[in-house]
Amino acid sequence: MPPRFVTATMLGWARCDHCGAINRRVTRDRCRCAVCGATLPRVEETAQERRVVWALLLAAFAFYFPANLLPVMTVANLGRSEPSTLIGGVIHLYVVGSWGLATIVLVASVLIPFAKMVVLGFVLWVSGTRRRRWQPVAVRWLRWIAWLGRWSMVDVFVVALLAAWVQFGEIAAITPGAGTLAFAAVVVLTMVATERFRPRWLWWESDFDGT
Amino acid sequence: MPRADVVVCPECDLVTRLPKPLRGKRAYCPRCGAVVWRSGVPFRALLPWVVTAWVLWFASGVQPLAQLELFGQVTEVTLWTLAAALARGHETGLAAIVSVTTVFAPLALLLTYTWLLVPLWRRRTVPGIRLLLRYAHWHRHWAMLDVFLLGVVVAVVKLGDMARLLPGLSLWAFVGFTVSLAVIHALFDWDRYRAEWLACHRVS
Repeated sequence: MPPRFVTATMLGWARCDHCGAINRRVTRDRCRCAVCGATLPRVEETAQERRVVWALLLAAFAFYFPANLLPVMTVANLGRSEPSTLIGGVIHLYVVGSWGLATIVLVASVLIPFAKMVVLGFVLWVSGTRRRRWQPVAVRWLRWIAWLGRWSMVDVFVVALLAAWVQFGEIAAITPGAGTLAFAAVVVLTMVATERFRPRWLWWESDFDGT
Repeated sequence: MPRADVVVCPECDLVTRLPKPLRGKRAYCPRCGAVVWRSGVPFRALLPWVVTAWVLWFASGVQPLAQLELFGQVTEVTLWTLAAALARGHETGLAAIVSVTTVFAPLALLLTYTWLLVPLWRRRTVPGIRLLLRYAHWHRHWAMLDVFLLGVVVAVVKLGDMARLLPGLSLWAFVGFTVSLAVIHALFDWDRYRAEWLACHRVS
């Protein structure tokens, strides 16, 4: 029975991940894109590449704890200095009365970074098994986290702006804390991991099942 | 070459034929739903946007984004000196992240789009196009102008009760720059660009 779907790999073609050109007659020796010269994707590299993504994800997860526990910035006000954490900032926004912004920051800086890592872990797990039932879910969620990725950087920018603006010596000064760097590491590592994950890993297993 | 209407899904590797006639702005992969085709505009139409983006880029850097006033003291920060101010306070890591995402990556992206248009205009290829084709998609993730703008809004609200904030002209230029880069990105048709560039490449 012929396969229901024809993929580029079955035909010996490869679409370049970088420039999008379709290359034909791709072999072990001819594995560079004819247009831009980038290395073309190969099925044999999937296992190795997946391990790289797992490693990046674990690194991101390791930074999640210092990001939440260490102060993201220290506000010095008339001699008093108050270190504040991520959750503390959200509570402050609620107290001030900016309910909308507080919710945005809570979701964007505490819940979403964690959810992104959990989802990427789930997608990686699905790509390693042959559970076809989860495939559509994984595809959809992967798109969500790829889109969301960069928006978590908003906290890093807020701290950077506040630290640069609020420099009034004795009266008021804001210094960034170690938590901000750890948080940036979480966001950047998750972004790099999501970028390195190739959605076709979710399909290749079943493409070569003969189903 | 494969036929022009045959596309390979960038996400699931499926080979499909585009529907005929092509309607609307996008075509999707029948298996995984990824975008396999986007309608673009002639590259001529991009030129005014690129020029606008360059003007706004300069305008967004030379003046302060906003001034902060507290008991008669004023501090101000421009887009280009933000990273420098952080580096002075020994926040090198933060300075690196901020400068890459708000200054260097957007500039690299704008330079890329500008340089890519040169071979189509001169009708012959110029050096570096291969390299740009290879890394152009990289800058898109790391140019975080829209995210930075949200950051400005949050920072302004946080400071609201503490000090007086006067938005500068550069802030509006920055908003315009963000919009024009997004427009260029949305209108740039990579598939057609590759085809037209290869034609120039073979001629020259």
